[in-house]
Amino acid sequence: MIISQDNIISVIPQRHPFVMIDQLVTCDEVYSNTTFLIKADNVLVEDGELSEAGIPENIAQTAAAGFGYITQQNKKPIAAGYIAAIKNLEIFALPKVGEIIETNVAITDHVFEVTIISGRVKCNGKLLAFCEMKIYIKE
Amino acid sequence: MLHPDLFTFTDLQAEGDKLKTTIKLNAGHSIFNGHFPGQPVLPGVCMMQMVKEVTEVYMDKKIRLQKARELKFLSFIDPIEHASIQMELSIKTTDDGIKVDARLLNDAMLFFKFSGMFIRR
Repeated sequence: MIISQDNIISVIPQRHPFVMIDQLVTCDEVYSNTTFLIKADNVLVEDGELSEAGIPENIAQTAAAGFGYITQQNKKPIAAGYIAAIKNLEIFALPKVGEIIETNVAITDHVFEVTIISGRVKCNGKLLAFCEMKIYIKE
Repeated sequence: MLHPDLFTFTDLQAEGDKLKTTIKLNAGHSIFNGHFPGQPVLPGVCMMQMVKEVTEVYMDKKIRLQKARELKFLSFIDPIEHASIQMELSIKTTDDGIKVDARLLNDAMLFFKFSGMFIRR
């Protein structure tokens, strides 16, 4: 683990109650990997499960934590990022309260201020969802 | 559920498989404390959830998003500046599920385009 839950907001622009990752497990210039425990009081939990909205948000914040960690290493301020598009999203199942999800993101391309990523969310080794995303980063 | 704390909707009008409703956002919702501090912007993923929740109320069924080919976020929604916006939906039930195309807009701007497939829960 490279960033613990206590410090996760040092690498992402989101704040409580809209933080949708706990720990940055690994990351480099291309890949980032986080974990997230689904809690009952999460604003995106519905009927005991993380709602669909939580899935791409968790993927986007996993990407943000990767960018943020690299930015922090370079001693630059953390930039706000916005999702510009979500493509080819598939959700097979939603994680339940009490479960921990593991999310892997790979940066596939950069076009000006837009970064294109692909992300996968797993729980207990099972694939829950994947999508591609265009993220606009406001420098 | 984001409804009714984050948003409410009124004047739900249906014509064939087309629906229209007026969305009112609650700029005081705690989500805006975190997204982002001092710079409230409606999270794009909440727009997607709003489409689902309006569809659930209209169909009187619980549904789950299974696939979305493309969701486009075209303009930021500041919940104070854009406290009242329109949602337009087209809902078609097929053998594969419930196909929903939707947009969030006002008279001047298009904020969000959604195309997705839901299944019944």
